[in-house]
Amino acid sequence: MAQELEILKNSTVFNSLELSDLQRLGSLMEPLDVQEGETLATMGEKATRFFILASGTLLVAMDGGKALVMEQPGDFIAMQILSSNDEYLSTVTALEPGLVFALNKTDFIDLIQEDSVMADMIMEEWNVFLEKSAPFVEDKGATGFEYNY
Amino acid sequence: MYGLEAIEVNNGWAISIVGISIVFTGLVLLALSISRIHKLLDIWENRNNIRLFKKKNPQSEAPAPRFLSERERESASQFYLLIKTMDDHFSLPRLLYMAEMSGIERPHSNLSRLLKTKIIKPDLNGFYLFDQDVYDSYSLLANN
Repeated sequence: MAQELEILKNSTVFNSLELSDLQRLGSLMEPLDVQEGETLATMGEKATRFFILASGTLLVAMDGGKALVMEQPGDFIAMQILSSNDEYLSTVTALEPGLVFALNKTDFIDLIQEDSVMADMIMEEWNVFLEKSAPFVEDKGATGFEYNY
Repeated sequence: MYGLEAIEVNNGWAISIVGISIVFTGLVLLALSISRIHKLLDIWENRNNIRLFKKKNPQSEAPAPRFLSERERESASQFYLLIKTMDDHFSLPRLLYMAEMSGIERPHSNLSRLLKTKIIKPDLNGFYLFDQDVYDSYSLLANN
């Protein structure tokens, strides 16, 4: 759990959350050792998980040949890979061996629906992160990440 | 002495004007402060987003590797040949696919190495650019 917390604290998307929120989020994270060339998500397949990078490098390949490289611990690979009809919009491939934490999509959305303040903070930081790391991603709203409260 | 004459003699008019000015200035400043309160509240509510107060991630500026091994240089030149067949702003997944098809050794990690050395850079529109100067600097380093 200590490693999960450390990653979340370093993540620009989550570092503004309270410790108790980070602990709840950390309890949902499942560690995955990834190998060079391993595919974590495939475009068009049913989307079940988000990913948080702990180490290594991931290539997020999107439609039209566009791509994003994730290499900072705490990088959150989420909405840019999901469509509103629960399919992955991108293919995520490991360029290097590393460690990734997987977050079940349903568990994550259930968690943020319980806490509107946390949901707002995550959404706000997520938009800042996306604007900085992937300004070319269009239609940021249609992501399958909608929540109601 | 009483009335207007007394006011005149004791600088009453000047004192009154100064007094009125002070009161009105105070009221204007108070009104301006109240009209800006919503801005201050916005800043307070979004204080976590103020970059000045955010902790910097010590790993966010990882230095580029200084050297490429002989194998990595060989791989870099193979990638270079592939990139030359593509547009200036090329697709990274397409490059990876071509590298796999061409039989380049360990295409994923070698591509990652080129990204880390900044030989390949994002163009911020989802495509990537090959930086000839950086590539040449690594070649020069190897030759010296």
